[in-house]
Amino acid sequence: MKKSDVTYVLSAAFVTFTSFFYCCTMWFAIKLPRYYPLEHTWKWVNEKGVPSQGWYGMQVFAFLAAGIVTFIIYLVFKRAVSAETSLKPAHIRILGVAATLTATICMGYMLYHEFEKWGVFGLIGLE
Amino acid sequence: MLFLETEPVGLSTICFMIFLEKFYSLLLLGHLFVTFVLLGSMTHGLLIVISYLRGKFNRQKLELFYTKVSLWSYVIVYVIGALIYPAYRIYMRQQYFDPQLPWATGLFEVKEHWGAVGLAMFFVFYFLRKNLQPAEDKDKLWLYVPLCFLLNIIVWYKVVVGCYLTLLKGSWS
Repeated sequence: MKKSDVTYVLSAAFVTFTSFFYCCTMWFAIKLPRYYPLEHTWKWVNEKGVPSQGWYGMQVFAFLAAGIVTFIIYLVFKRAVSAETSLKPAHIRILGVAATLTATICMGYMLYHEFEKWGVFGLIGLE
Repeated sequence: MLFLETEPVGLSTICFMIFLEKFYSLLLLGHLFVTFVLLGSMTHGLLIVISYLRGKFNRQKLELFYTKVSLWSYVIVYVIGALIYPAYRIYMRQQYFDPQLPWATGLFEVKEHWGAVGLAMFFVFYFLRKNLQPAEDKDKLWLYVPLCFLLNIIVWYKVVVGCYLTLLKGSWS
């Protein structure tokens, strides 16, 4: 497969899986390291009443998980697809639409999750 | 570093040194200035990308330049934002936004989540563009163009919400 085709497939995969795994941290409440700015320390537990930051852990998890999946896809392509093969235009379009839709839906979910949690919908009369 | 402790309870009675809090205002200003570069390059890039949809491909070099500038300005903005987050978390969120304006924290949290996903998108956006000839690989614009729109939405949301929150409470001193 051409280098630009490989880049395209891997790009679509990385965008899709980063958005998906980031949302997974919200859906499944995955335990990740949190930074406690008052204590200057990292802990795996979420201590109630103590200010902490889970955002760093969430993004590292999403980037690592998406990176691993994208790397696996790369290895599969490298072994299973010959260098002369090129992506069909229809497949290119489907991949583009699928990656865009996944990212958009995940971004929409993030907005819904936080607006619901912090009462933004109530404030603008949508509750 | 715990630097002065009067009682073992409550933020109001304990004086802590939060990571980089002394440089908060300076870093926040840097964050803002690089954001201007980011916003300009992204918006100008989007205008050229829209012209691709109309079949006009005469400004590809300039658009690639905007993409490069956007990526690196986003990385700088992102790193500075991550560095000042601990001080913001304590002095803005914990002491003001969470108890008094929780909806503002809602706006902020979306900004952070979109920002994190946006970082991955920005690298993809750049590497995709580097390996793409818009006039020849028109099918690949099916991912490139929506990414450009999504990134503009992320950047504009971050800028508007960031400025609004700073208007609500810009510093703690």
